[in-house]
Amino acid sequence: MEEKEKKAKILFVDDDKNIRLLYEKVFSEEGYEVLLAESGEKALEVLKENEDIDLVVLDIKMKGQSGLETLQHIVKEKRKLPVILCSAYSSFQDDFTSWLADAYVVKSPDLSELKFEIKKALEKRRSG
Amino acid sequence: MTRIPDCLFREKIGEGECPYILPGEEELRENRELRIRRKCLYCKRLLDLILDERDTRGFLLKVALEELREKDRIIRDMKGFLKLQKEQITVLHRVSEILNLSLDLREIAYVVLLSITAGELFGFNRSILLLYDREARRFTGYFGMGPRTPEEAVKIWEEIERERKSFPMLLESFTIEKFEEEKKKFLDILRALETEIDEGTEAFIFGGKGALLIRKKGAEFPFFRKIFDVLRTPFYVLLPLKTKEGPIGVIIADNFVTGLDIEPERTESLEIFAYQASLAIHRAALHRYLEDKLKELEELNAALKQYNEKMAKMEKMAAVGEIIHHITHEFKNPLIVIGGLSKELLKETDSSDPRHRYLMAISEEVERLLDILNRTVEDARRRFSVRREPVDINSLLESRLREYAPLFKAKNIEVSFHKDEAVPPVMADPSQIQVCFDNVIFNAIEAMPEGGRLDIKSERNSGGSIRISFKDTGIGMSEDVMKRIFEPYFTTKKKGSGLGLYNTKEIMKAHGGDIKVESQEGEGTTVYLIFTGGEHGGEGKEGEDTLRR
Repeated sequence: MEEKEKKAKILFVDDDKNIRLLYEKVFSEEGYEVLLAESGEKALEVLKENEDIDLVVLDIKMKGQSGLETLQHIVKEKRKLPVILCSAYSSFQDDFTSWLADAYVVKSPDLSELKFEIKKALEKRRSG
Repeated sequence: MTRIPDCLFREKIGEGECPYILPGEEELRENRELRIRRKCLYCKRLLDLILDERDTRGFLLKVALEELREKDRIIRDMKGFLKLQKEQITVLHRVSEILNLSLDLREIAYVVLLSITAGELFGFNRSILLLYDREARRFTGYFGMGPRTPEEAVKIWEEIERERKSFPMLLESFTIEKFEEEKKKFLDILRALETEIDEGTEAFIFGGKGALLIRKKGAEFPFFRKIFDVLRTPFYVLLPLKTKEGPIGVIIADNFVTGLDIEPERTESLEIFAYQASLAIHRAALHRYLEDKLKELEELNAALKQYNEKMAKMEKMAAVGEIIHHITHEFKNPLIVIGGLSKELLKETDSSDPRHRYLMAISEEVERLLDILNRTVEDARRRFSVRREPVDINSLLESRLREYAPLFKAKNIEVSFHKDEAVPPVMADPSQIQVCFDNVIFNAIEAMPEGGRLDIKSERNSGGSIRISFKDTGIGMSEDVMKRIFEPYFTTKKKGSGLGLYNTKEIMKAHGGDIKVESQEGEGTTVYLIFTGGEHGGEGKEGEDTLRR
C-alpha cells in the first residue's frame, strides 16, 4: 500500500474557475493532491515550482496559450510527465499535435472516464 | 451627168420617197436639215452622184465624210466602253460593299476570288488565296475558285451562259456550304502550296512592286517555281495582299485554260482591288481574334464568378460553423460544472433525503441539455464544415491514373507510380484531393506535347507528413513563369483558365497541406503535394486512448 503513503500530485489546467472548483472537489476526494492553474502559462510556472507533479490534466481551448501549445512545452521539458487532454471538443483529436498526450477525454459532467484515464496513466508511470 | 434627186432640196418629202427612212422616223420627212444629217450623208444614190473625185469639191467632201464617219465610230465605241465601265463600277461598288460589311473571312475570300475570276471584272480562269503567317514566314492555303480542268471550265462557262448567271447574282450566292464545296475541290492545291519562304522572297513579293506577272523562265524564287509545279500554267499573276501593318497573304490567278495574256491596263485596278481585299481580310481576322478573346474572357469571368460564389459560400459556412463551435463551448463548460457538482452533491446526500430527488432532477436535466447540444453540434459539423473522411491516397491516385491511361497512351507518355504502402489514410475531402491530382497530372501532360515520362511517388516522411511527387520530363518553366504559377488567372496555355494551380494550392492549404514546385526550363517539372498537420488515421472515436509515447 505504498500509494496510500504518498498522494499522487495532479495539476489541473482550465481557464473556467468553476471547472477548476469541480476538479478540486472531485479529485481531492479521490485521494489526490490537487494543484490548479488557470492558464497554460501559469501551468508551466507551477510545473517549474513543483518538480514532483505526477500528472497534468490540460484543457485545450483557453485564453492565451492553448492547451496544445502548453502540451508541446511540457513534452519538450519533461518527457516522462503524463498529460491528459480534457476538452469540450472532440475535434482536436484530428490535430496530430494532440497525439502527444497520453489520453484525450471529452469533457462531461460524468467524470468517471477522466478518473479512469488518470488512474491508468499513474499506474503506467509507476510501473514504467 | 445624172440629175441630183430633188428630195434633197425639198423641206418635206412624201411617204416612200426615201428608202432609208425607217418606220418610226417619219419626222425626218418633215425636216430637211435633220434628214440630210441622218440619211442623205449616207445615201449611196446621192453620194455616188456628187462625190466625183475629179471635181475638187467632190473630193474634199468625200474625205470630210470619211473623217466624219471615223469620228462617229470612235464616239460609238467610247459610248460602249463607258457603258461597260459603268457596269463594272456598279459591280465593283457592290463588291466593296460586301467587303466592307462582311466580317466572315469565308465570305470575303469567296467574293474576292469570285471577282478575280468573273468575266465582268478581272476574268481570270482560276484564283487561289494563300494567307501569310508573318512570324513563321509561311503561306497556308485558304481558298480556291474556278475550274480544275479545261473540261470543267467549259462546263462551268456554258452553264453561266445558259442560266444567264450574272456576276451580281453570283455575288449574292455565297453560302458556307458553297464555300466548303469549292474549297474541297482545291484542297490538294491549297495543301501543296503551303510553303515557308525566306526573307528575300518575302521582300520581293511584299516589297511594294504591286501585282507580279510571273513567267516560267524568269521564276527566280523556289516559291514561284513551286507554284508552276502545282498549277501547271505558263504564267500567273501574284497579287500581294498587305495592309499598313504588314503582309497578310497573296492571290494567285492564272489563265490555265484559255492561256490569254493579262491586259496591262487591268493591273492597276487589280492592285486597287487587292488593297480593298487586304483591308477586309485583315478586319475579319481581327474580328475573329477579338471574338475569340471575348469568348475566352467570358469563360474566365464565368469561372471566376463560380469560384467566388463557392468561396463566399464556404466562408459563410465556415463562419456559421465557428459560431456554433463558440456557443457550444460557452454552454458546455457551465453545464459540466452544474452537472458535475450536482452529481457530487448527490453522492453526499442520503437517498431518503428529499434533496436527493432534486439533485437527481438537476443532474438529469443537465445530461439532457448536453445531449441536445452534442447532437446539434454534430449536425452542424456535418452540414457546415468541409467534408473530411479517411482517404487512401495511393488508391485514389491509382484510380486517377487508370482514368488517364488512354490519354497517356495517346500523348506517348510513360507513367510510373512508386507507392509507399506505409502512407496512412489522410483526413480529407476526396473529391477535392482528386481535383488537385487532376490539375497536377493535366499540367504534366500539357508540358509534354511530344511525349515523355511522368514518375509519381508517394512517401511518408519521418515527421509524419505525406509527400506525393509528380516528376515530368516536359518543357519546364522559366524563373519568371515559376514566380507567377500560383497567381489566379495566370496561364501559359492557350485554353487554360489559370485557376488550376491556384485552386490546388488553396485546397491543399485548406487541408493543412502545401504544394511545392521545382522546375528547370527544357528539363521538366516536379510538383510535390504535401499533407501535414490535420491528418489523422481516421480512428478518432471520442475519448479513445491515443497513446503516442
